[in-house]
Amino acid sequence: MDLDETAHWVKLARGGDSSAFTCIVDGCQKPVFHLCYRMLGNTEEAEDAAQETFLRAYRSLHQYDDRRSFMTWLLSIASHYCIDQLRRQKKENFYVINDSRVDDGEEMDIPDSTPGPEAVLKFKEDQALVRNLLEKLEPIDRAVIVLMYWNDYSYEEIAEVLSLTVSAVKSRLHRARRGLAKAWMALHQEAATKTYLKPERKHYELPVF
Amino acid sequence: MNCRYFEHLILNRSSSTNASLTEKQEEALREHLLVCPSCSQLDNAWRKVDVVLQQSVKYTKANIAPKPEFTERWAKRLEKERCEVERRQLWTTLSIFMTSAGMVLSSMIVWALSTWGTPVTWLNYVLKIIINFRGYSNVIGNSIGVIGHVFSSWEMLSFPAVSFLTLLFLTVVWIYTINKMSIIKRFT
Repeated sequence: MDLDETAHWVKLARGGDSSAFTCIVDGCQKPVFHLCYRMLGNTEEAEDAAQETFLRAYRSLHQYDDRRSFMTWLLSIASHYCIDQLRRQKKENFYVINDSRVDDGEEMDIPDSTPGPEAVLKFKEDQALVRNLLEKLEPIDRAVIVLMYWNDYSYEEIAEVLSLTVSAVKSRLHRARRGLAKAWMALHQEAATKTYLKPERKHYELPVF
Repeated sequence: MNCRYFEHLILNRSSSTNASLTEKQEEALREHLLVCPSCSQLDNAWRKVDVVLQQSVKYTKANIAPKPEFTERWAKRLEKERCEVERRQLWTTLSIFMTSAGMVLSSMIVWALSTWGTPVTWLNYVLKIIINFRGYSNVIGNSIGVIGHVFSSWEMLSFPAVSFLTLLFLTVVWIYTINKMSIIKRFT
């Protein structure tokens, strides 16, 4: 959905046409869902968060300032909702790595251009790795990374979405990148330690005996 | 120059922002990485993370999407929420009605009891009014007689004050209710 089309539907929806808002949901669901998925880490919660985002947008459509980009406004609602969810989960000590809520993209369709079980395995490994790395970040830092990479947003746009200053965005981005690199190093160090500590079999323990 | 400066250069070198370093910065960084193992490790890790993030972005954009009929599910959820709001609106209105009526009634009872003493004297007073009522010849006379009787004592003058306060209270309650209902209406 392009900007003009979105502006047209928003204008109609603000005039009380509820079916116009349905068109907005149709056109904007993918970027909102992507943001929620990367923020929360699993498809079910992402769907719930995306639906809640559109409900909140519908409820407060009269507060929307049409000088701003509608998508930026929508993503602002989505990211604030996801940040609140993550903080609540952290508070409840509910967010455990590798818990049952986390999926590795089992429900996703792997593109035809990546045939074979190896490509599927690689895809799942990468998804799990990205999820693990993002989990190590603070909710706002995570939102900065997601908006920067997955939405191609500029510093100014990220600042608008997250209600931060541009310098705060830059400093959070720097902190988030350092956090990701450190998390990567820690994951690999852990893996290396596990391999190192794995006891070697004695010759008499081999299956042939 | 310390590691903090080079850390900044390393982490700013991302393919997502197309941020590139100047030739001088690249040269300084290359020299620093040869002598600093911690910065070298960070550089190595960040390069890999950056690549994995870029790949994940491509995969996400191509493959991850909401399940089919997302809009229909949203419309159903909106309808459900509308019903819930309407139910809440009804209960709010009812509870405001009941509370205001209860408060007015109880304040009237308290006022009546405090003005007329015990329930026995109160009953006597009512009976007196009824007996006197029979003595007046016409409707206007009856009304004037009853009002005159009611306001015959000094305490009875508190009656208009209580009525005025009650009216004021009800007005405030109703302005609040109407305001609340208009907010709910905006949503539904």
